[in-house]
Amino acid sequence: MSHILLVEDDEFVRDMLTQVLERASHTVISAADGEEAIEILRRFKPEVMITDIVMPKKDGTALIAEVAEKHPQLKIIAISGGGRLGPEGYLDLSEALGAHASFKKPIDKEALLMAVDLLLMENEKQ
Amino acid sequence: MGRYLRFCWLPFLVSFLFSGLVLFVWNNLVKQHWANLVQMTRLAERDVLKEIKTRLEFQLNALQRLAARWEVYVHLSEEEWRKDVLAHVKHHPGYRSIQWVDSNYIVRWVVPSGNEQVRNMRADFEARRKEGLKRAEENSALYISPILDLIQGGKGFIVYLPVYVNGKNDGFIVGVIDIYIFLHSILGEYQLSYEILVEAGQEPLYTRAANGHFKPNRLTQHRRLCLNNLKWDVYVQPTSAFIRLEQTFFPELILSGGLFIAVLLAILTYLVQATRQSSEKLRLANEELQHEIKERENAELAKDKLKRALLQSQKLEAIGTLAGGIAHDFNNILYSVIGYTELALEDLPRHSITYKNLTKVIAVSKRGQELVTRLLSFSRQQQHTFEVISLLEVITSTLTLLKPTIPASVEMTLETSVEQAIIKGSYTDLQQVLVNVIGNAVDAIEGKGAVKILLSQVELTEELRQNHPTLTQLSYYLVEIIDNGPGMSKATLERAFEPFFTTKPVGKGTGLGLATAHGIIQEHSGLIGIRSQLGEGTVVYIYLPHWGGGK
Repeated sequence: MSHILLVEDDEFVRDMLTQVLERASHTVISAADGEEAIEILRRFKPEVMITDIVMPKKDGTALIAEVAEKHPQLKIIAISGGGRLGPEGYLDLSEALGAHASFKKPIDKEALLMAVDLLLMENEKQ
Repeated sequence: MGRYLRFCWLPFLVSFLFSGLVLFVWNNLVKQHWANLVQMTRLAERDVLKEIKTRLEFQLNALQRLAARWEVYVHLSEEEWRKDVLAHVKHHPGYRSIQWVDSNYIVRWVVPSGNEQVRNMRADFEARRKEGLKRAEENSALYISPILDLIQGGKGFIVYLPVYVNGKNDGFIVGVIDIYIFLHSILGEYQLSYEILVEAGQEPLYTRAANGHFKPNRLTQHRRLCLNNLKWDVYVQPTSAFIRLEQTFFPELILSGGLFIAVLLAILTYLVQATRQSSEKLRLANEELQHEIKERENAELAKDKLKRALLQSQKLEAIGTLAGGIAHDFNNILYSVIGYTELALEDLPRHSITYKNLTKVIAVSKRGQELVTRLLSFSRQQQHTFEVISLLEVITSTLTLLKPTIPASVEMTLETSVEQAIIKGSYTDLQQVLVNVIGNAVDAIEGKGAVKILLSQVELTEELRQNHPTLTQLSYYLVEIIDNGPGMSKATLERAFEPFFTTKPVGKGTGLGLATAHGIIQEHSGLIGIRSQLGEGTVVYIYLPHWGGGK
């Protein structure tokens, strides 16, 4: 049973991604921003976190930095549609901070699901 | 000081010359006045002489007539003779006495009374008297003695006139003339403006002068009067009163007036010089001012241009930021659309129309994604890696790239006046720019036409810099893409570089080509611009800094 924490401020993307992940037999807990995510992480222990970067309140990169430190066993996937910088900029940064993978929106569904599976497998090995 | 002196030489010269003229005139006037005086004196001299001579002759003639009447007198008494002679004496001043001297040289009759003592005396008691008598007798003609001392004092001359009775000498009529009285009677009141001196030998006979002294001066005129034995030197000169009278102050007036004018002229010349100098200074100052104003105007113009360029780039940056912001949300939207559609696709039979339509939705959405990517690439502040490349190579490779897309009716030519055109930049970005610009040129031509690409090297002239203040390097390469299409209207030209602005029909153009090109060229520290007029075609010009050109 895999639990994925989805952090995404756009409600449609959030809903759509949740459906995609649930159809792939994952359990999804979603948060709308970084603060909510931190809250959820207190109570739940998902295996993977998929987070957007450009978000209000707590920035995605800050979230990643914090999570990587506090929950080192949590696998992090960063996604981004870009902002002032192109998505690459943010994603490179994310990986430097502790994300294990990063994707540019719109994301190839198969690639994302495969990344999730790979990361889950790694988790099981540990 | 030297400059001051140099400045002053002209007034001095002018007044000097003028003074010279004035002096010349004055001198001439003085000379003329003098000449006038001399002339007048000469005339007076002539008159005096004439007067003396005339009187003398007159007197002598009268005396001769008297002598000629001797025959008559013989038959008259002494009394008759005396009466006659006295009348003569009365009419002819100057006689000391008139005598009848007989042929034995004895004085017989004598008038006027008071001279009785000479009666019966010898008339030839003295050498010259004797001479006179003798001569008169010999020549049977009037004889005038030279000036001699008279018995009763004074000087005079004696006139000897032989008289005849029946052809025989009966003695002489002798007239003793006191020269002073004689001359005085002539000249006493004659030509009073002049001083007169009559001399015989060195002895003055008659002097009419101030203080009795005749002092010759430069005006003195002198002539000799010769009559018989009389040799008189007559000197005439104007009295000082006369000179004073004749003196006009005209020459002096001229002199002083002239010198005054000379001074005025000097001042005037100086003033004119000063005015000219100051007006020259004024003119120069004015010129400088004009020049400054022009420079100021030019600076203002340049500033304006720079401001507008800055505004434009700020606008573009603002749009960039906006675009960046929009891009993120847009990506999310696209992602949602694609995502949901994919989900829906999973639930649909593969061969249904709905399935096919939904795949089209995904395809279109992916195009939207491409658009966003391009938009982002425009808005991003990306530092592309620059390399040393050949601009000419970029152009030629782009032309090769575009060759298949260029219709046959469009003639494409490349003219270059440089060999390589080495610059520092991003090959792909510059190629993108050229693809856009050349593509626009080709698209602009409907039907038959020509696109000409010119490559040259230019130095940064003052004019160029003023028109494009953002150019700061010394030398640039200039690429010009010229098409003879319809050209652009002023409104189109103004918005050409605006993102999303396009004149192409919907779906054909994104409106981002020139905007992107602008950003790229700006990153290359160059300049891109358009010159176009409706009906005259279009020229897109790109300046790129020459690499190794230095600052």
